[in-house]
This record gives sequence, C-alpha cells and structure tokens, in this order.
Amino acid sequence: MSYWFVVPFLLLVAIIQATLLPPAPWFGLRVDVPLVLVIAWGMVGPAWQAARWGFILGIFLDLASGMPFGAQTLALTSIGLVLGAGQAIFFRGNIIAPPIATLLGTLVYHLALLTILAIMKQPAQWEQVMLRVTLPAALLNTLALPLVYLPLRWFAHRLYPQMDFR
Amino acid sequence: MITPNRNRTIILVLLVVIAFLAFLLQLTGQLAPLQDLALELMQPFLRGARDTGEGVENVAGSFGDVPALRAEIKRLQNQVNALTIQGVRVRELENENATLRQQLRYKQTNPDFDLLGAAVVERQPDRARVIGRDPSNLAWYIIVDQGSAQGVKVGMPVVTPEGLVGRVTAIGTNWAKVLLIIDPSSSVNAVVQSTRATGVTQGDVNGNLIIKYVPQGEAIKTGDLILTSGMGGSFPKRLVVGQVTDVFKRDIELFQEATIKPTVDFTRLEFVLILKKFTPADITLEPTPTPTAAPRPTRTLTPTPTQ
Repeated sequence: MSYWFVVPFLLLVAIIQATLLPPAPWFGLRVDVPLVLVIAWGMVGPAWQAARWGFILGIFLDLASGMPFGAQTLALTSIGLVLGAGQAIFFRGNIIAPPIATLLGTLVYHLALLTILAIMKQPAQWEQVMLRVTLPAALLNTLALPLVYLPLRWFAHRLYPQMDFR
Repeated sequence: MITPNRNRTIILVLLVVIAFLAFLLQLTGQLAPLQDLALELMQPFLRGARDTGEGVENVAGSFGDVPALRAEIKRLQNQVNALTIQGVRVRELENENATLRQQLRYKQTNPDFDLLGAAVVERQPDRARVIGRDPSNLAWYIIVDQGSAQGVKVGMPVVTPEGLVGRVTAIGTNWAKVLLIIDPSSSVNAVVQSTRATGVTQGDVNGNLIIKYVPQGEAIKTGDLILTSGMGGSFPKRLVVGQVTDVFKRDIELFQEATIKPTVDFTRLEFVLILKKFTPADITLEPTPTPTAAPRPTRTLTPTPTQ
C-alpha cells in the first residue's frame, strides 16, 4: 500500500487520538485507537506491515505525548513485529485470536510504557495502573476492536485479494 | 544475494533501532529541534481538529432545549465559581489578618528587628489555548499554543481562574507541554487553608489528587480547601488546588493522607493562564514559633523546573 496514503491516514488517527477522542462512558478512559489499529492490521494485513504502521503512529504519538520521546514508537513497533511474526501461524482465520491479541497487546503496550517511565525514574504506580487503567483499557480496546478490525479486514480483502482471509 | 524477505527483516530491525536511537537522542536533548519542527508542523492540524470537534459539538448541541440548559448551567457554574473564589478570598483575608496581627505582636516583642511586609503573588499571565492532550491513558499532559516565542519557559506554573492546572515541562517555538497536577509524576507543596498544615499533593492514575505527608498531629477534615504553600518557589502561594473529600489516618503511620477533588475540571480545559513571572513565597514571613529568623526581602524571579 502506498505510503502517500498510509502516512496521512496514520497522522489523522494520531491527531484524533490526541484531540477529539473523548473518554468512553463508564470506563473514563479513551480507546487506544492507534494500538487497536496496529493489532488489527497485524492480523489482517500483509505480514510485517503492522510494525511499520506502529513505527509511524508511534512517532506521531510521541510528538503529542509528554512521555519520553520514543516510548510509544518502541512499544507500538514491537507489538507490530510480534504480530507480524505470529500472523501466519496463529491469527489468520482464527476467530478467537483478535480479541486475545488485543487483550494481551494492551497489557504489553502498557507494561512497555511503564517500564520506560521506570527507566526514566518517573513514578510508575505499577499495581494501581494495572488494576485501574490497564485492565479496563484492555477490556475497552477489545470491545472497540470490531469497529476497527472489520473495516480493516474488508479493506485488506479488497486490497490484497490473493491473501487468505478465512 | 539479499532476498526480499531478508530485506524486509533488515528494514524492520532498522525501524526498531531508529526508535531506540530516537529514545536515546531525546535523553540527551539532541532531538529537541527536530521535535520542535515536527510539532510546529503538526500544530495547524491539531488546532484544525480541535476546531472541527468544537464545531461538531456546537451543532449537535443546538437541538431542542440544550442551548438554554447549557447557558443556565454555565451561568450557575460561573456563579458557583465566583462564590467559591469570594469565599476563598474572605477566608484568606481572615487568615492574613490573623497572620498580620501575629506579625505585629512579633514585631512588638522584637523591637530591634527591621521587618518588611510584602505581597506574594504578582501575575503576568498569558492566555494559552489547549490544542491537544496526551494520547495515552497513562499520562496527564496538555499541549498549549504558547511557546518560547511568547516568553514561555520550562517550569512556569499554569492556572485557570478555578485553580492550579500544572506546570510547563517542554516548550517549542509556539507550543508548550504542560504536566497536569493530577499526573502521578507531579508534586506540589500544599497547605490546608484552615489549619495551615503542610503536605505534598500528588496525582494518581485515576486523575485524582492526594495530599500526602501531612503530620499525624495536624487537623485535616473533609471540605478543607487545599492551597499551594509556595514552598520551593515552583508555584506562587495561595493558588487553589482543591477540596478534601476523604481523610485516611492510621495510628501506625507517621503521616496522614487525604484525597482531594481538584477545583479545575481537567477534562474540559480549553484556555489556561501561564504565570510568566511571580514573586515566590518567602517562608520566613510565615509566623514562626521562636523569634530567631529575620525575614528576607522578597525578590521576583522566573520559575525554574523542579521535579
């Protein structure tokens, strides 16, 4: 897919995440749309593309974030890499894989960010974050997954008809 | 020969290495110009998105009685804010009166001291517009549209008429990142208005505030107002931080804690004020139990970044 399309699209996603996206009712948290996007594309798109999406999205998010620069880039690129590696074996055509990947992906994403905060000697309230932010966020992201996964799956099917979309 | 798959793997490894390098360069501060340029370029998009969101919100809100209700809520909210501020001022005046009387007695009992009374807070605020928030759920930052070109510096306090918002942690030419007081990495020296008990407010992951390190012997109760103490010089004295909602006191602990409801609604921040210059609190002007220290003359300074 042309990066003339991908880069502006990912920039738009990052801007929406940093400005317009409101907290979800009941959860008080915002859906991690960039994370869900990387996970979903990692499962329906061509192998390895998710890591590139994660890298581009991470750069845009780091610009808008107060956390150390590179934190989101490292976290999202790594998640994209793992998904790209496991795509052909586990994910393709497996209906249970997307929600599990989202749950685990959110855990890994938050753990990666917390680890970077800890390395930077910033206070990271591990237990509190895991209980009050990470677990609800994992649930929220999983609930939001179909809204991202299904359109991306349809899109990937049209863009790459030769791929196996069971 | 390099196969396409190997080529792809090399590119991906390079991406991770670049991400790691960016992280390292940021640590050494060498990434700042690039970061500044990139955020400068992104700013019109951020502002545009924000304006679009506000436009959509306004259109959606124009159905039925919503505008009238919204205006009524705003009017009442303004009234509550005005009364809260008035109440704070009255109590502050009472406290100031008591402090001045105490200082007068102090002066009378120490006639050889040359004492100088001084006002503490001198504000020269700039109005800054919030153009973005931290995209993650783990940190509480905002981005505002004022930067070094407008004289903003790292460490400057940020307020609204309702109370303390946070402080500037990073700046570019026309933008600044503000660490909100509800972020877990933010600490503010604070004082309980009624009893003058001191403590430190810290954010927690839920976006609440907690006042810590209040000595066990000090009285603190639900409804008490928490103000900045001005100690450390990072913030001016007597900015409203919030109101105590719960007190946690255990005999085995050295200190007590309390949760605070901030007076600022951090989810609805649109405009904030940056304090470019203020007179830091001079703690030697506070009433002291023993007449030993002579007060220092006040001085005006630009705040410096502190953790």
